[in-house]
Amino acid sequence: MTVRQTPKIALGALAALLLGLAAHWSFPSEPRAAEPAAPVSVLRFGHPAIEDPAVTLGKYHRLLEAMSEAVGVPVTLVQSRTYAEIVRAFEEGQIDVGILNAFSYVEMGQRARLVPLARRVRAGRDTYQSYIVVRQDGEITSYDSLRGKIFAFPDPRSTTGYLIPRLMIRRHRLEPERDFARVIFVGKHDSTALAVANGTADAGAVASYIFEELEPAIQSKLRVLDRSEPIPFGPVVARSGLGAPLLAELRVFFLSLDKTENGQALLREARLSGFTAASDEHYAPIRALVRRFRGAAE
Amino acid sequence: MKLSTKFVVAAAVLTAFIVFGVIASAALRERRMIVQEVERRGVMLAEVLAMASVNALLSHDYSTLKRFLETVARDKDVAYAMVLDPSGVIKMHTDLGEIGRRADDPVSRRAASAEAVLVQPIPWIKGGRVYDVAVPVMAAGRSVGLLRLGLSTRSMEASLHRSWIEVALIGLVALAGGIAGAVVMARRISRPLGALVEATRAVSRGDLTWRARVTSRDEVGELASAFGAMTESLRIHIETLVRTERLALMGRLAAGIAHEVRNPLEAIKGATQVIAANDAAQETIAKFTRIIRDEVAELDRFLEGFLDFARPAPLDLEPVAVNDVAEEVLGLIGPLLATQRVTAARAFRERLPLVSADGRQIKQVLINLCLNAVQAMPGGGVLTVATREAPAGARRGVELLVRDTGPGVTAALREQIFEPFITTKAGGTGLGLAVSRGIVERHGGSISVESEEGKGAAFSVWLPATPSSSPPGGERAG
Repeated sequence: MTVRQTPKIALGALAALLLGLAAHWSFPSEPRAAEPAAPVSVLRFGHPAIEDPAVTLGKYHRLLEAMSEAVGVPVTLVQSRTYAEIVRAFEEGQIDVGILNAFSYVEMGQRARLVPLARRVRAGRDTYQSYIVVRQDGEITSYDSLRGKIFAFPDPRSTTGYLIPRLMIRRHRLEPERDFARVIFVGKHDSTALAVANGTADAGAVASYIFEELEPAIQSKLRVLDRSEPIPFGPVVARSGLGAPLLAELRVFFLSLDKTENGQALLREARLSGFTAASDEHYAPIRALVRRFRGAAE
Repeated sequence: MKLSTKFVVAAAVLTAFIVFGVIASAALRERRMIVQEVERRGVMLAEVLAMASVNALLSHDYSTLKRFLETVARDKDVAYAMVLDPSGVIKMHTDLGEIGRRADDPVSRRAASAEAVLVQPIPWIKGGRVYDVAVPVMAAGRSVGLLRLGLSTRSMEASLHRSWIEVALIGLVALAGGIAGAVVMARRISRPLGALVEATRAVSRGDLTWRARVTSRDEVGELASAFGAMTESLRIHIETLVRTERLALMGRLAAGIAHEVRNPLEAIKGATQVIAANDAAQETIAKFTRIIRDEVAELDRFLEGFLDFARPAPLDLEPVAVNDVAEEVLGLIGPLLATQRVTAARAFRERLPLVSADGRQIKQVLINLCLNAVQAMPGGGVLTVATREAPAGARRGVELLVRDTGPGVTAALREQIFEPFITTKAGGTGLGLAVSRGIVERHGGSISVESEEGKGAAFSVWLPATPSSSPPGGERAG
């Protein structure tokens, strides 16, 4: 009896693994030119690699179903492995709408003709922070003791995972390339936290909300060494080529989500409290920070 | 213990032995199977997982690694899953608290030093055995980490326990069936044996016509038919014996009668010859006529005694107090005792139960015995008459004992002393004791003699008590 179910379980586990891999590798590689105002048969919703893709899928799949119903077009979720990948996908028109981090938006938003539709609001705030985390039982208690250590960043194009912490570190007259033993790019914020927890790195930079969502068992292994200023959440953007009517429909969908009970349930699944209006000016402070960072780097 | 019980117990023990032997061997085989199965599954899962984990491990994509492990750990047989780096630090673990710890217990050390798949039991995890399966995570031909799975046998053991319960139930049913079969077999064996036992009891009661109805065609059946043949031939032998005995008795009777009758007839014959002589004096005639009359009287007396023996008087039963009869008889023979210089001694037990008897005939038996005793003591002696209550088996009864101090009875004579025409007395007919035995036996009693040569003889008469006879402690029976 037990013998017979064995292959089933093993196959189930295998299937789950392959699914995970598929979600991981499912980025479409076929390039496609943006065609302004052409009729849209499917909306490809892009999401950067902030955390485990399965977690992201769990957070957004019902919200995207609702979005599909609202605009009358099927919606597929496209998750990237790196921020660079999603930026390139937007530039090449492989993604129609999606969430972009602030750093990437100010770097390429205008060039790729992206329109900000809304900003995320989490726990009532439209900003979050960058945390520099170390091991709870480690010997790092100050920026100074980071010298000679291994530092983990999620992605070189991450806002709270790279841009902001680089500036925080620099404020203490530390340069990773010079003062750290090694810098590693882990890919995702939750992996960065795990890399610090499991000793791969001695310290790391993590978006505050990702840190707060970590399991208590992992959180308890970590200590927040420093917190950044509040940083605006990256916008939901869309290709301007989708046309004004569809862009308006999408904007209305996001901004009115918290008005209905169903919408609130979807927001809760996405761990959001709502969306608020977004314009390019909201990211002027980030633009300034990027200039400062670039200026100092050169 | 009855034969059938022994058989059933033996069958039950044997069945239990077989059933539990089968269960035990099945359990052992299942245990081996579980271990093999856990190994097989564990190795397969671990190898797939190790292969899938290579990229995540190399790119520090720990959240993906975490999801892989969590997915595998959803299987209820997976106790834990972990990925370690080559230095033995736990990079990811389904128990998140373990992350970042260096695993240096003996199992981990052995797992880390393994070059290929290694399966080892973990002794310290309670609640079902856990096997640790370690597989190196290989990239470009070298080990970049170690993947370990804990495979628990608990759920397999639980389902095995359920199947053990089934096996135990089947075992119990088999046991019950075995016992039931044994009972049936035992009956089939013991029932004919019981019939044979009944047959032997019937034979010992004297019923030789009883036949054990045993039709089984086994040894018991053979025994039964042999037993039937034996009783049949026994019956024929006994009948022949009885017939022979009866013929001998008739011969003895005829000889006895001839002997008893011839002497008076010879005397009468002689007397008539004397009387018939012409010159016989009147005096002589008178004398021989008297002789004839005496001899005829003697013949008459003999024939009367013989008729008593041959055609016994019917019993006139009434409750009789044995002590009263004995007292009366001693009174009757009192004058005779005095002339023979015999002293009478009484040893009567009081409060005897009444016997159901023909008082006149019992009195005659006692007179016979007493006269025999007196005649056995021609030089005088002591005649003891004793009574006592004596049960025979479950029956109450009274024993009457007549003892003399004469020369006793020889062993050879003791065997036939109650046969007719057996006598040691010069003028005896040899019928007294035979008649006495007839009377006592017709009462349902028994008569016997005990004697030691030179020390006298003791005749014992046992008579059954009346059914309503007063119990000991009641009114005095004498």
